[in-house]
Amino acid sequence: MSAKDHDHDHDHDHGHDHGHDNTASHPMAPQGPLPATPEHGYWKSLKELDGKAPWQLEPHIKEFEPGTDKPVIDPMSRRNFFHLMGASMGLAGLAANAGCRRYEKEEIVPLSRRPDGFVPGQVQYYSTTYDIGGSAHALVATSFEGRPIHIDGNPEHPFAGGAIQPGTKKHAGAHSFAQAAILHVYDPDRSPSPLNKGKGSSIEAFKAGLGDLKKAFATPGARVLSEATSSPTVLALRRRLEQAGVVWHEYEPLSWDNERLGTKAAFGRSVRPVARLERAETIVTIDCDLFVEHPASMKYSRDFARSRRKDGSLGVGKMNRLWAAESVMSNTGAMADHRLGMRAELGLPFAMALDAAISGGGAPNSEWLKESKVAQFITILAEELKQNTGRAVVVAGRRQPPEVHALVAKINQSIQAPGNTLDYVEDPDPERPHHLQAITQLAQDMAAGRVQTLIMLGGNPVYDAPADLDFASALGKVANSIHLSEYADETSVVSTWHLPKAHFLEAWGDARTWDGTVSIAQPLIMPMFGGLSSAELLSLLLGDELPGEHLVKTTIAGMAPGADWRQLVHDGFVPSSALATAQVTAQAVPAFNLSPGQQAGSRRKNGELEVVFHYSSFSYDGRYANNPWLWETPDFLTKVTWDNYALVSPETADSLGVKNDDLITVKVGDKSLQVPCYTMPGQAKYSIGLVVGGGREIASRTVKTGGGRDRGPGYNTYKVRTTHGFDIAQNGSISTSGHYALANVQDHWNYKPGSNKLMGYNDSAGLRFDPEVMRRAREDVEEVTGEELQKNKGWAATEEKEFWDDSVEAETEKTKARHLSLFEEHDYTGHRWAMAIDLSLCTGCNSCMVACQSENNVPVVGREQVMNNREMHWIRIDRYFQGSPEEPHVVHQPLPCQQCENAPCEQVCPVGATSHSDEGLNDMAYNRCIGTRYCANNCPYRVRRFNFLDWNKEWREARNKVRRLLFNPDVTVRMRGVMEKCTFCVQRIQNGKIRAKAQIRSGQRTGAVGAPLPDGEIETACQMACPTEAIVFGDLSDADSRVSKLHADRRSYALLPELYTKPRNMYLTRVLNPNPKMPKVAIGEGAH
Amino acid sequence: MSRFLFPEWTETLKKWVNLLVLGAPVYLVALIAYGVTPEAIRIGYQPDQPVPYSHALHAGELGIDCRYCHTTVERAAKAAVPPAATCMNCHSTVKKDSDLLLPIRQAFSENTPVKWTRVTDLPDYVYFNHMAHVNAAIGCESCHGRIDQMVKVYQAKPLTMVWCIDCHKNPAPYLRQPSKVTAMGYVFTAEDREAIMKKNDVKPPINCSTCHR
Repeated sequence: MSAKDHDHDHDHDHGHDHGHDNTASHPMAPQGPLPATPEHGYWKSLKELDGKAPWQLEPHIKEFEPGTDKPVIDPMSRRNFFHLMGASMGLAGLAANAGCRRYEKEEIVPLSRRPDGFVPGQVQYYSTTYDIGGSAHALVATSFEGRPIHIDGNPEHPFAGGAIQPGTKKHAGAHSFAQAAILHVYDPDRSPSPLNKGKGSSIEAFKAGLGDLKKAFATPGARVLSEATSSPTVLALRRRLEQAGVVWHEYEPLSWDNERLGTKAAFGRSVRPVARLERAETIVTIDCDLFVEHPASMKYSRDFARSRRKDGSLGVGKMNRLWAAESVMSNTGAMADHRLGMRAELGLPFAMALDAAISGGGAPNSEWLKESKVAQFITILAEELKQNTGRAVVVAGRRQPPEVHALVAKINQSIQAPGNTLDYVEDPDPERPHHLQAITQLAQDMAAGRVQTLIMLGGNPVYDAPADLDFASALGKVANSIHLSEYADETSVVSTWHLPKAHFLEAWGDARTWDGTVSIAQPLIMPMFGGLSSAELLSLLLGDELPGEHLVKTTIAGMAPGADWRQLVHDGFVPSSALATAQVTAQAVPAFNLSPGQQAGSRRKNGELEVVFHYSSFSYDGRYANNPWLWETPDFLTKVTWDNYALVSPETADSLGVKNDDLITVKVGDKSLQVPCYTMPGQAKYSIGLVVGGGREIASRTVKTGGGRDRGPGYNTYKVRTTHGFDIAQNGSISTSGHYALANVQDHWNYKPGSNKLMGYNDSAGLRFDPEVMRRAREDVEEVTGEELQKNKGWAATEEKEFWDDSVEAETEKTKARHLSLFEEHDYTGHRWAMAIDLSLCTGCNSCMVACQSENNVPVVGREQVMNNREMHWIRIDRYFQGSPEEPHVVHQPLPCQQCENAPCEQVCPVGATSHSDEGLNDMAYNRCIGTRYCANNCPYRVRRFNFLDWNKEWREARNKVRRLLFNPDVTVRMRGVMEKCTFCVQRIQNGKIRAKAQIRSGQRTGAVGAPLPDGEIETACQMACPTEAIVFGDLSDADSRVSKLHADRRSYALLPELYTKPRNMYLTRVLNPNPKMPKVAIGEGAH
Repeated sequence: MSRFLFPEWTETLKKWVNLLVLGAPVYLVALIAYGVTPEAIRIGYQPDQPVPYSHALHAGELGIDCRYCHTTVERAAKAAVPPAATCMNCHSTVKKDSDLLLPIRQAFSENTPVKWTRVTDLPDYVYFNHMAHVNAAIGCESCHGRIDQMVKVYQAKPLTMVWCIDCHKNPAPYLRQPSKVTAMGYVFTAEDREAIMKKNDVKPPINCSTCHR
């Protein structure tokens, strides 16, 4: 199949016509930007591969990205014109009036008694913890005058943090979900009061009925349904409830319990594998995403980066090799040196074949295993695993059945992973049934009328329980149901009682990280809308009604007797509280029978398709469905925003007659669903990846506005998820049933060398490029193999001496090195702020994007405006494919403002709103900007963002007043009509500098006032959030700083060097480590 | 009836009338233009406060150091307005029954803050940092004026961008002995300036991002 065979009309439906389908007749065709080819160069979308991306079709027609200049109001009519004229004259009068007066009167409201150590206007940091799906993330929350405004990882935490290299500062990344969860603290759509049968009530009214409730506990009809939690306090309270006779069920829609069942089958009891990736030379994942989805994702990302760095934790000249076999393309698959796209159901034959190849024995009978690519992959992988005995590890994913996890345990034992690259720790709750079993049991009991009282702690089972259990009608048969949740959601409105739940930043709590380290959550603010934590509600039900702090303190005191409580809260964790290591030996794994699907080859028919359920980058399992930040952050790999969709491989789509941006009907058994289709390069053939977490019926106003609907964005894919196809459903079919344009940003902000207007010349034949320019223009991303780097000591990312005439340079270097610009170049005497981004380490996890949004008050624009190219993110992550659409190779490239020394934006601003600082930053004074957008037009990297509309308009509504509390007071909130962009977190730079200078001048620290600051003292928000430390910020005037060393590295290169912009941000070439025996992947085949 | 003719002598008035008619708009424009300058509008702004606290009495007559109340001025961006508790340090014994101090006593006992009106107000897109200036040996007086003589605080300086930049370009005339940053009526000496300029290595930046973030 050729990529040209199908029509990928998957951009936005912007109004104007660009139907130049026939490229040959297009005026620029002879020398215009050539479509990327699978063999050469990188491409961002299938459309681009076909030469049909908007920027390829009409690069010279539009000054701005298509859609951005769409009129906001109706076209100007005469009547409209006079209307506006009148209004503007009136406004001018008003404005003159207003302008002549003082600013709005402001009040200063000091505390009546100021606590010790509290400095008004200065941020404070508190360690805290957040529990998602039964695993904790250790965090540090930034608090400004008593309100949390930003979330980072806790670098001191033994599991979450630590130094990535000896001698570097301790660091911890923060998951994008954890960072974005801060939005919910100030969400006015959160439930403000308890509901009784759907009507507003009070907690007092609830307490009045407690007596009857307690009596009910002794009867067998009393149940608790909890979302997964690792809280030891909740566990202790649960034991007391269980003693009172209450049956406890735990359910999580995205559950890792298959792993527990698998280890139970392998070892006789369930244990938890904790991989030590920093020691592994070979890492194999079977349908598993280590870097975003895994409960230990941030830790795994860090450890992976440690052994991925050249000369990292594996020693000099060594780096790990990552093999991934998976269905849905994940961040792990994108990072892999070798990736095998396989249907999820084939995980079992894959694991069996791998086991057989390592320990001897016959491979299972499956057509798929006989396919040459698969056989080769498994043979070479098995060989490498045997070679790297004791230095390799295999990890299987959440979706894979227990059999695969059992086989993985056996394989790991054969390659001596336990004790070396893998630890097994004791299961904190070994007797707990599988989540699926628990919810099934409960729903059956409810339907049979055996449940009279049901207490639901968090979760939203009406929305996310398997569809065949029909949880909603089962709940109708429960006499008294109580639902504790942050929002009054689908479950709340059909329960007898809904109680508001406190946010994790509002309540005391505790939770265990994946290794079991007990981490403490301290509240940073009183519950904004009232609310209880799960532990507090349980205590209330037990009749104690103890405050959260008391409950947590008691639990912790039992674990760490004699420890100083304040110190533990300060640190955020209990030292040495990890779960005990389990000494286990794998038993013989029985032979497994393969299903017909597992015996078949990679080609399937419609009706035999497998459907897998994939977590959402926007809402995880639906719980963040009210989070506009997450909805607008493009998905890691699809780059879609504000929707969920079905992932279909290009070939499958082609053969089944569906297209990208089609609305398709997915049918599984007797259940079916309409959902948009996204043709995802690299998606396993004949496997449909259904992203969950969309289509919430009850959603917040913000999200509805942004998604442009009367319900939450996306489609509810849980409708086709049943107990029989909980992770992988069989015998699915798809058919097209309409059109639905996804808001996709993948072709936005294109800056490919071949598309750059500045490098072409425009004549009667249209925009053309000099072939020599095309030849020497380099690719945006660079890759090299570790082997090449090792062999060729002279290899450098910038071999060719950039772009200008060498003779001219030789001339000028005598006087002033490299001063070749037409404009006056700058000399720097003090700090020279700079950044380096290592493409080898970027997993594309979006942490930096959310961190930037939170730090810099970046507005959300909504689905419709994303389609008009108006998204506002200051840092974007460009995702490039290379190779064929079926087996592409992926590179992520985070792209902030490059802070050029010879910045093209500065030269064209007519009012000096953007100007160069003496430290090399391109400053942006919003208040001076008049919105000509010349700077954005002249920016070759496309990093400037214009406020086309008043994005903060709704924040002025009375009900949204509370949301303003989230703003970072150190950053100006921008108005309509001004340009904005990444500033390298200039507020952090200024505050860091001022603090250091003041301390030196007042004698509190030694050193010179203008000298470079200690490396790492000032960190940007994106850098702090990055789990792998791929982003390094620092001062080039300090030759020993990490950023200086990285800029000097032979792997470093600048983007578009031919433009002589001298960017302060350098990229480090991505180093791959393919197995030499595997067929060569064409990498680094740019135009140079 | 014959046509009315202006008497001869009005001819001499004509130029004055012309001057008036032509000059009036110019005058008006000039008047308004000056009237809307920060110098005219902001200097002298003197709002009422909930408590008629007199800096002239406390800082001037009694000689209490600025930092007794504005404790954070040397280590934070804001020179925080003191909590009611600070007032009560003295006023629990001094003038403890004064009606004027009722809001302070109320704030202290009921833990409800006093709502002061901001006098020295900068636009929200300007980030001023007290710590940076005080530690570089710029005195309070340079921006706030003779606080020690103000019974009711008013804005004494224009606080305009050009006023800020003038000093950032040439800070030397405003540097004083670090021990005297809070002193009022300070007499600058040339020797001081040179020594402090050197000791503090004062090079105020004039980048946009110095104040606008």
